Amino acid sequence: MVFCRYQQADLCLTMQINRYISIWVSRHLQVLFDTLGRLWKTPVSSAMTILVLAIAMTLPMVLYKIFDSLDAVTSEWIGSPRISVFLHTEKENLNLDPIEIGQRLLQNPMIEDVRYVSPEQGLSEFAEFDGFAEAIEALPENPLPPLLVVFPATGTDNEATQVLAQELESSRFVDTAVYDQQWVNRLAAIVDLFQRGVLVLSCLMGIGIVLVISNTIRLSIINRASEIEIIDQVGGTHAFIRRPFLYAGGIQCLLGSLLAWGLTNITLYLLARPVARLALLYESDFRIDWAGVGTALFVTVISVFLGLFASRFTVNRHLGSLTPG
Amino acid sequence: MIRFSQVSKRYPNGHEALGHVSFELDKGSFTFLTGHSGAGKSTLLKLISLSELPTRGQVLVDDKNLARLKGNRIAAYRRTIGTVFQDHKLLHDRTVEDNVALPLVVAGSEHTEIKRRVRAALDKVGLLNKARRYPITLSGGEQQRVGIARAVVGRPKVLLADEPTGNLDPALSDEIMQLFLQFNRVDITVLIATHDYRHLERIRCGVLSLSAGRLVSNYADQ
Repeated sequence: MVFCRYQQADLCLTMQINRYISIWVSRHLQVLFDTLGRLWKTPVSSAMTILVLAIAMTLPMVLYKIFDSLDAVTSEWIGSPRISVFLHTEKENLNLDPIEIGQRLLQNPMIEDVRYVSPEQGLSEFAEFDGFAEAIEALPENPLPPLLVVFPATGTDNEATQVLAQELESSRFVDTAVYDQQWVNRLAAIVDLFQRGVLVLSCLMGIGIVLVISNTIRLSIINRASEIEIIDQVGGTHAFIRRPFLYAGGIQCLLGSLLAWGLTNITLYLLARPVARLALLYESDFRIDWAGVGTALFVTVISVFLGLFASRFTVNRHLGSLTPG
Repeated sequence: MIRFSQVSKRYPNGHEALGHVSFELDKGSFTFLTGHSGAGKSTLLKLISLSELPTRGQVLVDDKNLARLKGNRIAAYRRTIGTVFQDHKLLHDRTVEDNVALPLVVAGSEHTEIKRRVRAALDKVGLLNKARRYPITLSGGEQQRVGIARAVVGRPKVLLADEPTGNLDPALSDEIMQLFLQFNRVDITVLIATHDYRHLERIRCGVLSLSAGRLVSNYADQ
């Protein structure tokens, strides 16, 4: 009890508030350390639970990072449709300079930009691919035609681009003009499908986390049934009884998501080289981003929330049986 | 202090543990609750400790109708009641002093206050030198005294005991009864369920006798 004079009423109130805060903090710290101690005392089962949670979170995280990166690349491609215009070889072209042809094409208002890829350039790009270098060396001469990459004016729709491609093909300098938008569209659709898949998978994994935590908490309630009964008997509130279980669920999810973050980056690291090689084959500078602090924070917040929800739900079900009836 | 009016308790399985029980215990009274096993002694104590609610009738403690208490008020009420169990109900993974401290910890008392009162309670039951021991290393009588220290550490208004001497030899049993009498002297209302009739002869007290859930006699000795 704090006694104080009238003039010091404010000070008295502050002291009371400070006292409640310090009791509150020390209570929570005590539960925190008690919970950590309990997890530490049963290292195998704690580690298994945390690992299960981590794996449940890693899978959607890895897939999310892959398709997130892929989405960035495909939207870039979709954003700038292009027509690959393969010219007749120089001899057939009456020695007309491909760059000059490009200049002429630029006069067409439907064309925004033209980029020239010489046969030598094309060959050297091929040579970068595994196994191609030797094959190319074996060739008596460069079989590649000169290539003009034509970028239609912005706002040109799919059909107009196709018409433009046909027009270009009818030119006497041009061998073939390929408007390869379709496969990009297909890829975008596939990416879209997989992104939906990742979302569904994440939801399933979220349910998985809730079930894992519920089951773990249910077992620990069974183990501590007599303790719960005694605390209830001596006047512990339901919040008091619930607290250690909320901490246990929350801490396991926290550790699980941190471990998942690590596992995700290890997985992405293992995938990085093959993905880079594949990307090169598609002439793309596609790279998977690391799962950064932002992703980790996002997953941690969601999983801790799910852990707390699952623990609370499970303990409340048990507390219902303690209510006098 | 404690008033039962026409209290009946029927369990969901249809068994009627108490029927039309009415009595009143004054503040600071010392009462034995007797009867054969299955007579309804434990149920009566559970109605006072608010572990059960009556099917019919009212239980009033300190002028509060227990059926009206909900949520955290139930917990707050239980802190005013100390309960001693026949099987002690101690936590075996905690030391004696931690067990005794439990009612104060759940009540949110300050650390220094908890320490002081736990020492006082253990001193009272003569176990101050075993504060750091684990309950499993103590004898049955000592464990029961830990249970008693835990029941009184929160300075309850009412002390309930369900067969507190059931498993003890006569000498230890008398020792425990002396403890209850000591607490009664500081105005705690004590109600002890027992079928050890030796105590009834020695101690001046009220007696409630139950038989098959009915109150068959009620001697108030004040």
